[in-house]
Amino acid sequence: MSTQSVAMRNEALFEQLRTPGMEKQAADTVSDYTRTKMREDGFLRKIMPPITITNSELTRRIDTDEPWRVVDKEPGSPASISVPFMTLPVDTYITGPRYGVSFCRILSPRFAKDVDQLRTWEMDIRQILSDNAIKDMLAEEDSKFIAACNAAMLGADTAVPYNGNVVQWETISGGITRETWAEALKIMPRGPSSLETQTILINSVTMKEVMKWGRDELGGDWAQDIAKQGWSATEFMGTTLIITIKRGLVPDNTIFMFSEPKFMGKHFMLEDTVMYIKNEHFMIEFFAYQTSGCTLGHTGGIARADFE
Amino acid sequence: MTSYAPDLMFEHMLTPLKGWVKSNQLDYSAPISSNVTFALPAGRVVHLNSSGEFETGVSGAQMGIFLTSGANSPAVANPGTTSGGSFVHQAVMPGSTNITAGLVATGGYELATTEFVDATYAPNATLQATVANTTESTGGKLTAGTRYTHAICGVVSRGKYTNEHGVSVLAFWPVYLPTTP
Repeated sequence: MSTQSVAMRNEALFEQLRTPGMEKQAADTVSDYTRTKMREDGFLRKIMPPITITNSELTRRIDTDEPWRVVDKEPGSPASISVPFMTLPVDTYITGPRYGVSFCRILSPRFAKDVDQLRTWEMDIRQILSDNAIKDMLAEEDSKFIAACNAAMLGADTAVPYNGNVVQWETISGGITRETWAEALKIMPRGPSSLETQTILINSVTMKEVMKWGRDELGGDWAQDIAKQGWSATEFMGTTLIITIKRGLVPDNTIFMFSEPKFMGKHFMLEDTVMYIKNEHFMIEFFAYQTSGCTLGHTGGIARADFE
Repeated sequence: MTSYAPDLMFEHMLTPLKGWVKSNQLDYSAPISSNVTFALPAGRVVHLNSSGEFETGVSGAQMGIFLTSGANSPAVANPGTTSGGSFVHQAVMPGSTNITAGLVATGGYELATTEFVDATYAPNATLQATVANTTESTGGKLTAGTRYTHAICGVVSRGKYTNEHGVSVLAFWPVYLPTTP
């Protein structure tokens, strides 16, 4: 986009905001852009795609009018047994677990400006600010998600008592090789749920270690292709790869592994990202917000490997 | 026999009577300190500790903040372990940082809170809030205070009354008046 056309778009937005009754159109313009263009899509939404939920699907409570949703979880059942004749079955009264998903709001900062000072910007400051606001909101989602995953796994090399006393976060020696990668993929199926990894989350720096694998580890001409063209595959060893730039959340030499989302929990979206704009006399302000809730009802579908 | 007692959403509440519902309200959000050992209800007074976390009451030069969401609000916390230690779930959003929010005392409001020590309060009486992180009956509750002796965080306005929900509340204007240094 040329500098002149960006300046013209800023001017067009400026005129919309200055024209009475055009605020909604300006808001729609910014909102439409916000929903379709993100600098790095948050990885939570790829690992656990949000489900839009309506008021009628919320669970009402008497102690609060805040939104809340109860989700059923698969019950356990006693094992079947072999018995001799003239033996009746053991009774078990039907019951089962549930868990709750509560909601909160994620807010961007509120950006404010005297509109006359907007006239002199040639770069598309609207796009930059709204991009950054959405990026930061998605980063907040991702941050909460990783914190919850780490909390659920209790810590490195620690057995998790509510998941069959297996270690879900394992330190693996030997660097990042095909062999140690396969060792990492063993972590999740060792648990009582026998789940397989569907998605791997890795940061872009750690991915460069995988790019070092030679022909003997990758097999075929793939090593040559990577050397020439870089890494482009999104599927690897039967899993979907998500490569993130958020090294603060996904450390170097670490991979997170996730099963299918139906084995993990629920991510509900009550109100997806909205950009609010207000124009009052010569002041413009805008901020983004969303209302969502996410809970891990079953943590057996999460694993982490720290390679050293 | 102990039985489950329900809660009502207005039993522990902060109601802004004047000066709220505007886009430039002065509010502040922070996590609740682990030093607070009970579930802080809405309407209690807190201050920021040196770690930027909320603790109960005000003293010295601390700024009073009046909680709009209690620790048990689903938007603040969604605990996932039973009292017996069984796993139920791991909350992602809201997470485990227990971030709540409140209205800052220097904002221009008239507030009504359910969280006060029951007594007689005349208009213009000054109010303090008890610092007691481990005492649910008093921690962060408004009570009568003496200017320059206690950290004053409120001035009684229309006083104590029973609101439309049948709950006793104390109406006041939040202020900031630290103790004499």
